[in-house]
Amino acid sequence: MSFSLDLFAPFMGSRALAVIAVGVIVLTSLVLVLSAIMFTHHILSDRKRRRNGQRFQGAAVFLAPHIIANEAELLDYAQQARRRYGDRAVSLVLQRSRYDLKGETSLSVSHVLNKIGTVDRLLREVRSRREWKRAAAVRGLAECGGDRAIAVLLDAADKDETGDVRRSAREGLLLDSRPESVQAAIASFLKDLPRRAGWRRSFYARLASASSKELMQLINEKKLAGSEEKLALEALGDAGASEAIEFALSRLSSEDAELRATAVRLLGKLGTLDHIPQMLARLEDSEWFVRAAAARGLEWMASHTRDSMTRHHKECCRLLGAGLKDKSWWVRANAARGLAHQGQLGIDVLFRAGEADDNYARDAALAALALAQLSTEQQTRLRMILRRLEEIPEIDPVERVPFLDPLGGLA
Amino acid sequence: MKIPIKRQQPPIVIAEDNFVTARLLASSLQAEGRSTVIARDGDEAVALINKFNPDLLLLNLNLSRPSGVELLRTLQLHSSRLRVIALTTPGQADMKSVATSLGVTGFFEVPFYPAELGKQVRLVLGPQDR
Repeated sequence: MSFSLDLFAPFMGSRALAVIAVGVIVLTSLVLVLSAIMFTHHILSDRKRRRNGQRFQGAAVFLAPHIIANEAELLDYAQQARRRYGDRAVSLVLQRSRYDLKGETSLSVSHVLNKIGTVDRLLREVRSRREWKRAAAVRGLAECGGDRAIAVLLDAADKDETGDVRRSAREGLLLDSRPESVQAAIASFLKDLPRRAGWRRSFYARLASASSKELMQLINEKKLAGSEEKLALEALGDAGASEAIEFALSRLSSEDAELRATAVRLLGKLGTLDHIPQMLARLEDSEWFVRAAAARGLEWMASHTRDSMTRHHKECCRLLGAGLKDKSWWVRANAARGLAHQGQLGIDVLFRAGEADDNYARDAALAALALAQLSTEQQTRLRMILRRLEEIPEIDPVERVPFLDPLGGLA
Repeated sequence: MKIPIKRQQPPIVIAEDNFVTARLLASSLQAEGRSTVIARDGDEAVALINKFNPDLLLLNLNLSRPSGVELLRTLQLHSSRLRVIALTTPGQADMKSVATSLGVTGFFEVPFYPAELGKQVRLVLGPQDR
C-alpha cells in the first residue's frame, strides 16, 4: 500500500493528473502485453515455418530417388514419407516434381498423388466459398493432373465467378495438354481476355509450349489481332515453333513497324541460313527498332547456326559494321553484339571500330569485344586500347569550372 | 601384370536454386552411377567448383547471387576444362545466345525426361564405369 501511495504522491493534489497517470500506466501495460503476444506469435510461426521447410526438404531428399523409379516403388515410399514428414510436405514435393518432369514419370507422380488422397483433399477445398482457397486448390489440382482433377479444371475455367480461379484453371488445362483441355483453355481465354498484358503473354507462352499449332491457328483465323498477334508470335518464337516461320516471312514487309520487328525477332530465333537475306534487308529498315531487332536476330541466328553463315558472311559483317554508326544506341549495341558472333571477320570489324575516333561506335564495339571469345593476342590488343582510352582525360583541367569542383572548394 | 588405375571421376556440380528440381536432377544422374553435389546459389557453386574441380557443371541460368550468366563470366570457360550444360525453361533465346558466347557446351530444358539427362551427360563426359 505504501508503494502505491508513494507512486501517486506527486499527483495527489490534482485529480486530473492522477487520471492521466493511471491512463498512461494502463496504456503502457496494454502495449507491453500486445508486444509480448506478437513476439510470441512471431516466434511460434517462425518455428512452424522452419519446421514446415525442414519437412518439405526432408520429404524431397527422401522421395527424389524413388520419383524417377517406378510407380509401385514411389507409392510405397510416399506412404512412408507421409508418416515421417506429414501429408502436406509429401503432397507439395510430388506436385512440384510433376511440374519438373515429363512423360511416364510425370504420369506416375500424378497417379500417386491420387492414391495418397491429395486430389480428394483439393477437390474438397475447391468447393470452398473463399476465393483464395479455391484458387489455391485449382492451382494444386493443376499440379496434380489426372482425369478427376482435369474434370474440375474444365468446369472452373468455364464457370467459376472469380478471374483468378479461371486463370489458374486455364493454366492447369494447358499443362495437361490433351486436345480437349487445350480447346477448353482457349475458349475460356477468348471469353474473358485478361486485362493485364503479362497474363495474356503468360497464356500465349503456355499455349505455344503445349500446342503451338493451336496458337498458330488462332492467328491464321484472325482471332488474335493487333498487339495480341504480336504477343502470340513472340511466344511462338520462344517456344521454337517452326510452323510460324512462313507467317513471319509474310509480315516482314508489313506496314506496321512493330509487327515487322516481331517477325524479325521470330526469324532470328527460328530461321535458317535461307532467311539471312531477309534479315539483312531489315538492317536497313526505316525504323530504328526494326534495325535493332534485325541485328539482334542475326546474333541469335549466328549462335544457333554456328559457323555455317559463310555464304552471307561478308555482307552480314558489312551491314552490321554500318550498324555501328547508326544514330540509335540500341542498333549500335545490337550490331556490335551481332558482329561478336561473326567469327574473325566480325571481330576485326569491332577492333577497327574500337580503335577509331567515332566515340559512339567505339563504345559499342568495346562493350561487345569484352564479351567475345578472343585469342590471347586479341585480349592484349583490347587491353591496350582500353589503357590508351584511360589516358585521355575526359575534361580539360584548364576548362574546369571552379564551383563544379566535387570538394566544393575552388579548384 | 599391371592393373590400370582408374581415375575417380569428380562429382557433377548442380547449381540450381529450386530444391526439388535440384534433387530430381541429382537423382536422375545418381541412377546412372554419377556422383553429384548441389549448390543453391552462385557463391556456393564457385566454392564447390574450387573444391572438387569437376568436369561438368549443370547450371540454372536464372541462378541468384551471382546470376548464372555472371557465374559463366567468372569461370572463363574458354580457357578451362570444365564443361557447362545450362538448364533452361522453354524460350530464353536471349540468355542462350549470351551463354553460347560464354562457352556453354549445351542446353537442357526443364521440365525433362530423366533418361534424357543421362544421355546428354554421356555425350559430354562419355560413358560412366559402374
